[in-house]
Amino acid sequence: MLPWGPLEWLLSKLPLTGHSLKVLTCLSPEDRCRAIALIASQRGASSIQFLKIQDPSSRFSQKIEEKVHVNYDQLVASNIGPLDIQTLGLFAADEEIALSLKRYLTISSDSAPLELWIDITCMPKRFFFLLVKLALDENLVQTLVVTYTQPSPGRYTDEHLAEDPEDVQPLPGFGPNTEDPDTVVVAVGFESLGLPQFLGEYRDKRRDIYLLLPFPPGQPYSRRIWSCINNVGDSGIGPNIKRVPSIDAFEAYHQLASICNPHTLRTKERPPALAPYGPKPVSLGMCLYAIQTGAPVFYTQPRVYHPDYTIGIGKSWGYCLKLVGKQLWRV
Amino acid sequence: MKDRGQNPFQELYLTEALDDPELYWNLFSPQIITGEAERLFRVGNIILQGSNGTGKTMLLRLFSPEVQATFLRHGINSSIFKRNPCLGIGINFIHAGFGALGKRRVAEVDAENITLWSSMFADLLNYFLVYELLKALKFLSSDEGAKLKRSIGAATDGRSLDEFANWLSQRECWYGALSEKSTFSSLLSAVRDRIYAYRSFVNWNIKELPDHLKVTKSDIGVPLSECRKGLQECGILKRSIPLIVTVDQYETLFHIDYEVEKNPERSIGRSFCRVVNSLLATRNPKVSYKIGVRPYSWAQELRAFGTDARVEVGRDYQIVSLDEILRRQENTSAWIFPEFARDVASRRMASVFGGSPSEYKDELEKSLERLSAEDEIERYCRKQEDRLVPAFRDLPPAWNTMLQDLYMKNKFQSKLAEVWINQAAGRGDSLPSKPPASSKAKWNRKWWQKERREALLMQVASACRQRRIYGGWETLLTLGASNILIFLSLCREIWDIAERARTKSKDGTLKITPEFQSQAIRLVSETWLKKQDEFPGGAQRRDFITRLGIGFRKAILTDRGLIYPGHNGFSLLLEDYESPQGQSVRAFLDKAADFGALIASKHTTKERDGRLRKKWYLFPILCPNFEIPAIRTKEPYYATLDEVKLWLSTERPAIELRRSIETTSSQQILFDMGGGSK
Repeated sequence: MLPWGPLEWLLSKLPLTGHSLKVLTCLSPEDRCRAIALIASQRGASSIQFLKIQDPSSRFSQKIEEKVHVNYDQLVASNIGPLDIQTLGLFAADEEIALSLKRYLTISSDSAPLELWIDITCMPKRFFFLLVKLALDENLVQTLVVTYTQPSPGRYTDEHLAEDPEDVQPLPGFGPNTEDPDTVVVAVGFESLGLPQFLGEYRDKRRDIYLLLPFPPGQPYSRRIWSCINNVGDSGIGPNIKRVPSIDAFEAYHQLASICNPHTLRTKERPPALAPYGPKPVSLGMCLYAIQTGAPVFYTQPRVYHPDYTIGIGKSWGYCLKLVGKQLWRV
Repeated sequence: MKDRGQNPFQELYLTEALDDPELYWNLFSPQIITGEAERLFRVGNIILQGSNGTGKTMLLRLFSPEVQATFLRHGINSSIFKRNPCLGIGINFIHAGFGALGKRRVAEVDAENITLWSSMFADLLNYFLVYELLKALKFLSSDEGAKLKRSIGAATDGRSLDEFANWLSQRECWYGALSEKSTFSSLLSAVRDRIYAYRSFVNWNIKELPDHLKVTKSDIGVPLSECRKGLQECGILKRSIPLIVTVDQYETLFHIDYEVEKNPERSIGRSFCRVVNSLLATRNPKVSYKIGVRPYSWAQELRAFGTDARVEVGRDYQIVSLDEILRRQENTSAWIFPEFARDVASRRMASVFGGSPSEYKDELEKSLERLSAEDEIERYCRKQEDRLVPAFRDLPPAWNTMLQDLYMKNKFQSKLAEVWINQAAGRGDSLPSKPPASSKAKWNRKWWQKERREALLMQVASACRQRRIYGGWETLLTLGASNILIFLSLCREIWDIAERARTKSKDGTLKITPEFQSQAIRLVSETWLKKQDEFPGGAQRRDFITRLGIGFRKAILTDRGLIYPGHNGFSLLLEDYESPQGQSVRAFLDKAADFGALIASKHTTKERDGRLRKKWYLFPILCPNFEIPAIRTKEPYYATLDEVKLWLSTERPAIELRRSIETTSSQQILFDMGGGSK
């Protein structure tokens, strides 16, 4: 059985290592950004590092700042403060993202092995993809758990979650290594953003285009996801739609392994191009597959996020990627 | 048009047909390669400019050896390549992942980091292009490439290639990085490994940049020039065959870090642009570069790398602008878009239904029912014949009688007369006590009518609380705005709707009514507006376009005398637009033009001071969203820089146009009782 599930349940199954627990999470306008910090605090985390990702100025800036303050105050009121906060721009260079991890891990400089949680709940993909990749490769990190908290059921804003996508760019640390791919896999979600741009680049019949569709999406989101697919309908997508559970990162990883050339996992030859526009756990599955195969991951980073992206705090999940030095996820 | 089930316009993009070169060639219209565009295929550096959907990538991909070879294998020998044989290679910066470069530090000090990265970028680009060249030579040696090889007279046997590899690896341009690669395959591997090493560093797969890369960085463009020389010396490629290098998605480089480093001098992306510009400055007649770029992304950075000298149009490169080539000019006889669109449509129909394109040349045009202004107004009044009867309380009986008689005969004419009366009232002009004879009436003058036709029809549709109805081939061309992607989108929706409705005339041919055409046009218009969201800055652009469209609509609807029929566009003084104070406005408007939200052109001012202006209109396909005219006529709105700044501010004000002549209130009509008209 793969090591993932509701966070408390997962943690109860993991052996006690005695390593100190460090947590890298985000301070954001969403209520759910508090969840993992609270759990970690109760479990005696030695430190919690909050990344505050600053979006470019927009009509939402003031409201976002107000909501971030509310979350800050609530965290402090929960005895988590004073908060250790690192502020980074949304378009921070790879170097800054990597340094944020390096600094945090080496801050106590005792070089003792540790357990690290990376909370991807409110962390933009251009941050967590690289952070997960580097943390997997970091010997100090003996145990690595990625965490994710859902919002209250049905509490995504009805408006656009994000706006103003940038041009198609590889995610930090996930640029192409080899020849042009012959397969393209897109995970879809609520927003198509610049997805048509991306598909426009890879549109020709020599390539197979697959969609990973989160299922079940939960009402009322089914229509929203199909509307997103409809938006990219002009982009040459065939009937290649694969359903993946929206919360199961490993299933997404396995779907990719089954869709794409099975040799790719081993040989890294001609990996597909990936585009993570779906739920975070599905993106995590893509991230892992890309780490293993060298697949490029493209995204059109939005510049603006809605201040009410989600409301409330739902269930928290954990995905154990590394346990006492052993990477558990690789096929 | 015969009734056939399959929609020939289903696939909008030609690149979708790349796996089937015969289909590609059948769909590709050489009509676009006429006049100025043909320069793209001749020796010399070209900046190929075009906004979204104009076909830059489609044209650049024609140079690919695979595409050329498959054409030849299918017996298709394009006259373009017969006249201009070449060996083509290329890079697409998005596919090649060059957008990921420069984001991992190689030096602590910023200036040093930029310089080092730029020289690494140059080196990687050199190796990437040389690798593409080596792969092209390998391809020519294969069965698939054999016909192309013969066609360009290449000699790529194993011995020649090894000799070439040996010769090339000893050049000084590599600074020893490729020495001892005496066979073609070992050279190919070494070049690939170097690219892989860079990428491993960029992707954080390795801790540090390998030392050997640091000390053997090649100078931009030199290795490729050496390659071309070596191909000739080793007897592989004749002197007369140029090497053409296509560079697509140049603008990707601007976005590498410009968000972070707003200062151009601290932007790595800009520095990379300078490296690419340096390729143009080499002016090597044996190697030509064809760079695809959005129009306004080009002139942002013209300096070459390592110098303040700028690359110059005419000396270092020529510009081929697809927008300019395809856009309607003052002299419409030279406008190539109608023939291009006709050819594209007929090729698609022939490809799906069989036969030759010439059989379908006019079919689409004939099947689209035209709509005269008179017919259009009749359609608005269908349920209530007298709903537009003119009613002026102040008019003498002779005028009212004339208007009502005219209304019974020709509603459009009577509405024109009404507008003319309102215009006179608005200006404070007096009317003769009796209406003039029809032949002498000013509202019957051709140009006066033409300039107000669309605005008037918009007012009439609004008065009847109906949406505009569109019809005819000309309308399709106007709304297509010389953009083949929009034209094809319109064709596809019209075809779909007509098929679903199964509207056939008595002879069994498909006749597409204006109502069906309008339905499709509105759908495409809405989609194109939404499409703005897919691109950088799209949300702000969409918001601005929406407020602008509503502002224009309000201005025209309230202009009862149509004194300002050209107020579906605005212009700015060129000196303001280009001033430092205009920087933010300029950046926004330029991008809006690049992404198909606005159309920009020079404005020949009617002001006495004669100061140069530039004008902007909504992209024609967006106009049906706001029910405003898509044609550009008369004087646009003369805006000020401060006004446009306010429009673009975060306050998002409703856009209102200033008027020097009152157009909204009901003016009293004055009459010249002496009997003569003023």
